[in-house]
Amino acid sequence: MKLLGRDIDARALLQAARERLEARGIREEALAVEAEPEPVLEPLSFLVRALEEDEDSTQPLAASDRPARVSLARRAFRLACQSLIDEVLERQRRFNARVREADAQLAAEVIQLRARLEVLEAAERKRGRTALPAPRSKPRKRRG
Amino acid sequence: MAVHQLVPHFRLGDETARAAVQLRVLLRRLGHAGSLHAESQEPGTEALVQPVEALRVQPEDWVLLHHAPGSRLPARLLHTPCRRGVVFGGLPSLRLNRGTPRERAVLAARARLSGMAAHVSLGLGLSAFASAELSRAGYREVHTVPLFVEAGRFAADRADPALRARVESKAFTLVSVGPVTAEARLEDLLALHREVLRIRPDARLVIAGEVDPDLAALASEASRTRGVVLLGAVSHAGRVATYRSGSVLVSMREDAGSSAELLEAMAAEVPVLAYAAGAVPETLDGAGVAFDEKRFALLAELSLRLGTDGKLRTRVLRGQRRRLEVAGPHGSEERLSAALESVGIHRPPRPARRTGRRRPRVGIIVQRYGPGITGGAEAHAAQVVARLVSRWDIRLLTSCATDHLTWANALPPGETRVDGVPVLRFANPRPRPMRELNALSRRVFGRSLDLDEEESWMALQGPLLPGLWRHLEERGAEYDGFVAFTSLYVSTAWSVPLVADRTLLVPTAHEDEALAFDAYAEVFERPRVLLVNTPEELDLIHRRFPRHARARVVGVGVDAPAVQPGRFRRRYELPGEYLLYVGRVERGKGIPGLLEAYRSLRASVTDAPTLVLAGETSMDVRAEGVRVLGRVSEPEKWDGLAGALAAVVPSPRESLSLLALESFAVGTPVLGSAASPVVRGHVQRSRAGVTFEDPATFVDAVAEVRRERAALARSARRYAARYRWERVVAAYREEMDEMVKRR
Repeated sequence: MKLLGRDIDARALLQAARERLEARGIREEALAVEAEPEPVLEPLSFLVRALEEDEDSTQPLAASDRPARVSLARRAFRLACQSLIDEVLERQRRFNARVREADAQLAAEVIQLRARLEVLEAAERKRGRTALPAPRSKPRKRRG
Repeated sequence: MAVHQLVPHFRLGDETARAAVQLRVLLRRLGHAGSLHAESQEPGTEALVQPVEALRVQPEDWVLLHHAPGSRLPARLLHTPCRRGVVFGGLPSLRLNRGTPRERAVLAARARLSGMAAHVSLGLGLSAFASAELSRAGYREVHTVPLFVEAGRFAADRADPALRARVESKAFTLVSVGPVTAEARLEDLLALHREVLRIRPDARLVIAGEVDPDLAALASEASRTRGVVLLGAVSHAGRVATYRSGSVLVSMREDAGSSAELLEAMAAEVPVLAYAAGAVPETLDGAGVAFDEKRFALLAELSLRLGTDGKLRTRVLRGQRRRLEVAGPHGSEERLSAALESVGIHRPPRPARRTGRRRPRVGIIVQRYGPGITGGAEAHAAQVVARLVSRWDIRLLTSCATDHLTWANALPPGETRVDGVPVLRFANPRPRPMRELNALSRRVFGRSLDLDEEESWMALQGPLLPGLWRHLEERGAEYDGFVAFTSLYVSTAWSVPLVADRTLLVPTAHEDEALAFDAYAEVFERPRVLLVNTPEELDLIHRRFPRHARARVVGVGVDAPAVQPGRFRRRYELPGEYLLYVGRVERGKGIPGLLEAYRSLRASVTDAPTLVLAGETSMDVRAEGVRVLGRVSEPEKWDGLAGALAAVVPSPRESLSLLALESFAVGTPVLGSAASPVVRGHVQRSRAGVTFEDPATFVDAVAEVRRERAALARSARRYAARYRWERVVAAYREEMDEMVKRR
């Protein structure tokens, strides 16, 4: 273990503490703490997955999302009426699936376009230009 | 351009609320107006924070979003037509919340953080640790602006005495302050405490902070452990009491994006022992003691040594004090300024250099202005304007209110003229709810508060003039200088920091519970100069804000017109002796005390003079011998004062007491409240009056005035002759000229 601090003699302080532990006959291991950086999530892919998780409106929410008493009552209701629930929510389920599919398609396009843009920008940089020119505005149609 | 902020949930005392209010204060210092908006908020904060739906932006405005889990604001930010920034103090750790109900919300918040990166031009991390996360999430322009700590707020006298008495103990005490979430590692605190108990069986662990409901089982285990005190959420004063009851502040926190509690503990003079994770190392910056492994038996030995070895403790505390010197608002202001400059948010332009002999353009900031508006500071402002309008190019900057209780918009906003002087009025979006303000005042006065709580009270006090603040930011360069009246109201208190180096402040300060708020330091410390009314007012400001700006006792002039006392007597049928009060007839002016004293007088003497009350009346004052005149004209006031046995000044809170000075000017003595240092000062210096403390001394004072009236009247005239407008005008001009020249 290391101690950090400008105003302490870290080595002496630690040594004294260790000696006292030894005198008390204590030897201990450090608690293992993971020190991984927090993950960075690709938002578009995350949203597609999140839509997927909640796509089927006929399925119950996770038990942890609501209080226990409510869960029990709803479970009993579901057992009795699942076929009715399926029928009533079928259109919603189909709609959700289409939204998810459309979102997945668009997200995939955006991700692919971003990757292509990065490649193009890298190539431009290699050729000595700093950035792609701004998109040109559409030529105006002449009237008359 | 204004800089607004969006907050997912605003609750006083939360780190997000503190961050938003601190940024608001710093932005004001940098000359930027802007408002706070929240998706949801604690009831009672509506004056300080508006709903998200009320956000109105101009394309060049900036909106800074404070990002947190569960917030729907990222989507709103991306579709708001403005320039965008994100303020980030870290998110709950995914590692520590895996498998819990919170995991999905944490994942979604992380995805949203990345999703905003391409559409946001500025990332502000509240620590270098948080900034690193922003950079990893794809933010390009990232700056670190740490929250600041005002050490004075953690002084011993700021602690909640009841809580301190409850938690203080001679036994060795570890303290932990902050929300008890998964990141706080309550299990590790308990493990350490159990090791300390093996050495010191009477040792205690005091934990202050709201416990996450998901940790209920662990909290229950903690509360069953010997020596553990779980306080739950505590007030600011409670936090100070907790820190100050500790032998050592211990932090086992992991992955925390900011660690303000460590600096607070330093300010409360407790040695800090903290696990070096997240933002902890940079927050400590070499002060306190940090450790990199959780070996609880060893840490127990270390914490005992740190808390009980006098020499070691003194050395560590000295180092922590040094660390605090650079943790104040100034450092954060510099960092924020650099961050804003990097994305082109420059300080508002300064006025162009004056050419030729043009009159200086001066903005007069005052809470109300116009014909028929009475009030000490408002009348004072009007008198100054009347005497300087020929020397300065004046524009009044004020509210649309005529009523000082509600600040309701009675007059139309926009440009108008009063006595030929341009007046620009700004609307108040939220009239003042007096009942709510009084209830809040009862709750907070006399208690120690944090900055966000003080700003919330100030906002409720009003008048809120967002249009004025935007005007000062965008068009402040049109003015060579400002004269701002009345420090207590936010129309001045939040305007002054925006243009502080060009402002002469006329504080009109008097004894007031709100003056105990440290937030008012901005008003007294930052202007170019304070023009105060009396030596007593200066003394009050000096006692409360010792680092106040240069101050000068200027006051006002009093020019008494020719008077005809008989005219007043005839008009109001007052043949005998009378005592006269002129001003607002309300509780705050000491009227209940005066009525009680007057009843005593009538009970003691058979020939008691009539008590005449002249002014807008907002309380029941019916009593035997009391005449209520309502508002009287200026000539009537002077005639009335000249014919009175004495003028009565019962208000315990005065910064000038114009009534006393006007009374002296017509040779009428004053019966003044001894509770007001200003009135007492006038009476002592002039020897032209008598003070009273209670009904008994009031009876004596009236008798003395009757006996000595002729001599008192001579002294009164001599004293009033000191208050000449030429001297006052010369002082204002000298200060403004000096300011303009220095620029």
